[in-house]
Amino acid sequence: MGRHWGRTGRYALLLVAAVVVGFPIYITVVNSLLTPQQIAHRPPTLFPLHPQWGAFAQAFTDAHLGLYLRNSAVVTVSITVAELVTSVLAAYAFTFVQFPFRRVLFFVCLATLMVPMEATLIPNRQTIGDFGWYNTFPALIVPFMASGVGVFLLRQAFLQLPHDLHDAATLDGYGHLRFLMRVVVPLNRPIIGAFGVYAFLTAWNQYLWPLIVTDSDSVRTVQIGLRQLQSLSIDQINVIFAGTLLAALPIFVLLLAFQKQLIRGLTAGAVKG
Amino acid sequence: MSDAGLAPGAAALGEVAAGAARDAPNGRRRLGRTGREAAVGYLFVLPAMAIFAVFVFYPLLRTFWLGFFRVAPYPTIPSKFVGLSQYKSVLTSHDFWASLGRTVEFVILTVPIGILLGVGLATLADARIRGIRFFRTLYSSTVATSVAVASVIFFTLLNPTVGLFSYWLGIEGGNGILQSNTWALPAVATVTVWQNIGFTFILMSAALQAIPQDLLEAARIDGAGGRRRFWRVTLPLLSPTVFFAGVVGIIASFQAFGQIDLLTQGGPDNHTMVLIYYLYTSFQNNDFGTASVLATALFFILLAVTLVQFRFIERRVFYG
Amino acid sequence: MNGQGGRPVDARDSRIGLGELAVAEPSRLAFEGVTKRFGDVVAVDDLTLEVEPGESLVLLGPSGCGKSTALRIMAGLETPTAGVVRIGDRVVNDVDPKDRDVAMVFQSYALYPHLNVRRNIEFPLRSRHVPADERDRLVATTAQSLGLETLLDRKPAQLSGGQRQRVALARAIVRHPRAFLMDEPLSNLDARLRTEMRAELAELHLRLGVTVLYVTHDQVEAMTMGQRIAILRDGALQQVDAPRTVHDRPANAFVAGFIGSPPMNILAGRVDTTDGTAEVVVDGGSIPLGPAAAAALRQRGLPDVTVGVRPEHLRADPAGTLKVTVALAEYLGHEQHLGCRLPGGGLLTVRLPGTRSALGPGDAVTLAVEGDPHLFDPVDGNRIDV
Repeated sequence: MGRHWGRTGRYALLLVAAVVVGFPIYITVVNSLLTPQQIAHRPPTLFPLHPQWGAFAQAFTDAHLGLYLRNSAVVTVSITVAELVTSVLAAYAFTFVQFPFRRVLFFVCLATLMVPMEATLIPNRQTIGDFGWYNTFPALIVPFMASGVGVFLLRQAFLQLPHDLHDAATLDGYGHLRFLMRVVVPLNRPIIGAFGVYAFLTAWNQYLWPLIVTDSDSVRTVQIGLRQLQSLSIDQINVIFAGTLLAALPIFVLLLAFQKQLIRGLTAGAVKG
Repeated sequence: MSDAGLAPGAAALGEVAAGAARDAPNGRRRLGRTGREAAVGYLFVLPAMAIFAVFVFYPLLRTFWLGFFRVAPYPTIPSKFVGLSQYKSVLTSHDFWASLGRTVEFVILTVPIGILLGVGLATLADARIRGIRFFRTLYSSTVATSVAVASVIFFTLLNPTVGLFSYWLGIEGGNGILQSNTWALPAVATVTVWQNIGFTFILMSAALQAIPQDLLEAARIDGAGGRRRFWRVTLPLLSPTVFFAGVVGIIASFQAFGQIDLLTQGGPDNHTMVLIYYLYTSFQNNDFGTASVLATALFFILLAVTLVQFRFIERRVFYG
Repeated sequence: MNGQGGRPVDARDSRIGLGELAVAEPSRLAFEGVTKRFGDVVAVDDLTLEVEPGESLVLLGPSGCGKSTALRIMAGLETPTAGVVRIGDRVVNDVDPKDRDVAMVFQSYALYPHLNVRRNIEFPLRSRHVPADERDRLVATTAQSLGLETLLDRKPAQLSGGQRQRVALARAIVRHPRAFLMDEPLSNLDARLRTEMRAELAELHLRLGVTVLYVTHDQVEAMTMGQRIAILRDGALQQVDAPRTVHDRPANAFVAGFIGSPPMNILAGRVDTTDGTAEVVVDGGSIPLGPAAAAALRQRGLPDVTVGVRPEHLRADPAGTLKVTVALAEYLGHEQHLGCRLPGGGLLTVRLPGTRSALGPGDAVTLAVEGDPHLFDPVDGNRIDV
């Protein structure tokens, strides 16, 4: 890889890789603009000469993708906001507040990182049942309102603040909450934003948990909605492709807008230097 | 700031009490300043702790506990406490070991290739040439796809009757790839690798860019050619990230669920019945006892994986 | 705000309204038997100390002597393990820092990096819900009096060290606190700036008439900034007196060795009152004692004594009583420092004015002591009064 490929060689490789990586998405876009007959046609159509836009509307309404997107939005935004709030508060306390067992409790938070979702699946499902939350938004939101990753990440960031800043604010008359809101949070916007993007992405892509605690369209998220979509018959194959694009679109837009935060969030802690 | 949290718990509690009691001349306030401070601390961590307690720690322990109960096939018959015998029977069963094997197979098919591709693409795209931004955006793009999105796309493209990929593979009209005993798991692995490329690419690119340029320049001056530079400078400096990607990748592939559920549902003939899908099907069949044992097994396997990786492999990682 | 208990405005003062910035009511600060323990370490040991209203008192001592801890206890950032802290007449042990009405200037200034100078200065006013126009006025006058009016829109990162220090001061002043607490505010400045700021701070104190508790490890700073100096060692108060007193009559050998640059020469000796004259026999010779000193020693009946002689009280004199060899000579322009080796191996520092002597390393020299040496108990180091 480090050899002198020469420009052409590199471009050739880049192109090949681009085709391999990009083709599935490309063909999805193409097929969403074709009729089912065109899609089934052999030899296959690789470019929509007469794009048919109807599939999107069909996916949105008939296949309920619009509803599922709304549900996903509600759930994901709620989870993200909740995770941000609980993580900021906890990270702040672990950094700036003195209380007994502080260290122990922090390690407890870290310990949650070691527990995979599968290990808690069954009892959590039972808990949801006991609370009467089956097929409701709380079932999808409440278990995820706190994040060990968030507490860890934000505490790391908060520790970077010069510690007499807190002393100064204390003497200037600021209690903990106001110091948090007026000094700590403004000074840590990038990492908080990065974690927000990470939390959003993770929540949006959840699959197994929503599968287990919901089975009604009214709360179905878009990932499970795709499961329904996939079982559409072949003569609606273009709707399947259109629906997939609709499902992926919000994230595409979000990531485009928050590229920097995304890279920051994904690589936080992973890259040295 | 003095770190009162360093004092052992008992001493710290003593100080709280002492602080609360001590203010003889002006003893109006019951709760001293140390007490008030502690109250704020507990209040701030309460929300996160409450969620963790209810949805992480309690259920983890309960999962272990549920493994001790054999659940009857009929809901009217109560579960029976059988102690460790259920653990023993499930963990020695053929089904369990078969699914563990499938899972390991899946991990081997996805993780190394994924990392290699990530490093390869990142290196390939690490060049200041025209249009490189287009390529870089393209390679990152799969990060916007979820497992479900990727799976539905590939499922449809692999449709035995009208799927484009089936056509290209020359098997249209017959049995699809996903219905083939030999090719189902590799197919699922391919989908997984494809879906992960975006993330791995971004990760490795960031790591590549974090390599100080002057190190590479120094190597050039020292006479190291491109290949040598890559193996002796770039790769060692990439190793922490590769290590991280490895750990994350292995853990993630043990937990890979969505693609199995959408593509093969554990079939054909259990050839893609990885551990977590076995757990799911047990759960769907209301066999909570078996499912809990499997969940416990999964937990300890992942714990072991993390520990092993940190113990043995981290030593080789170069943390310049 | 005019004349609210402050000094009258000096008409010749070209800087605007410093008199207007006079504090509401400078308070007395008191430590009564204050002790602070961190685990097994005693940081402050039974400290009893008072700062009079309007006084500038310096806490001086080597690193780790507890001066910063004591300051932080007064600020309320630490709670004492034992003892009472008073501001004015009020016991404040249980009072939060924000309710103590004291301002603190930190060694690192602790400016809010995301706020500009104006917002940094008005920060303490916002938390006290001072109405907007009053706030703006206070900020403007304070900024102007410290020469910051052109910098109000800059962020701390864009300021020099001296400017940042002034912003930190402005933030402290703008609140009209009862007392100022300063934690080595000049340590982060370069030497020349430090000298400038020392003068400014001293002047500020004079004009504002505030109570100042000032912490430093630099004894030159202490001597110039403080109306009184309190010297701490390992958490315990050694002496608290005016600078001159601390210099001329140190309370014990530690203080004697700490104050003064170059430091006092401390020697172990034995009293010899034979053959009529009283003297202390030390390594290298002897130091003659005057009648009063001799009497004091005779009264105590101590054969051993620790003596201290300041470098400026030694001079080269063929009729002297100490025989030494010059080990090194430092020429400083206006004076010369000689490091002289004693036969037993110890080093004596001699301070000579100007280029008086042409002595260099290797030269054997006889030194005479001017006046009586300082006398200290050889066991507990306390001063022996004459």
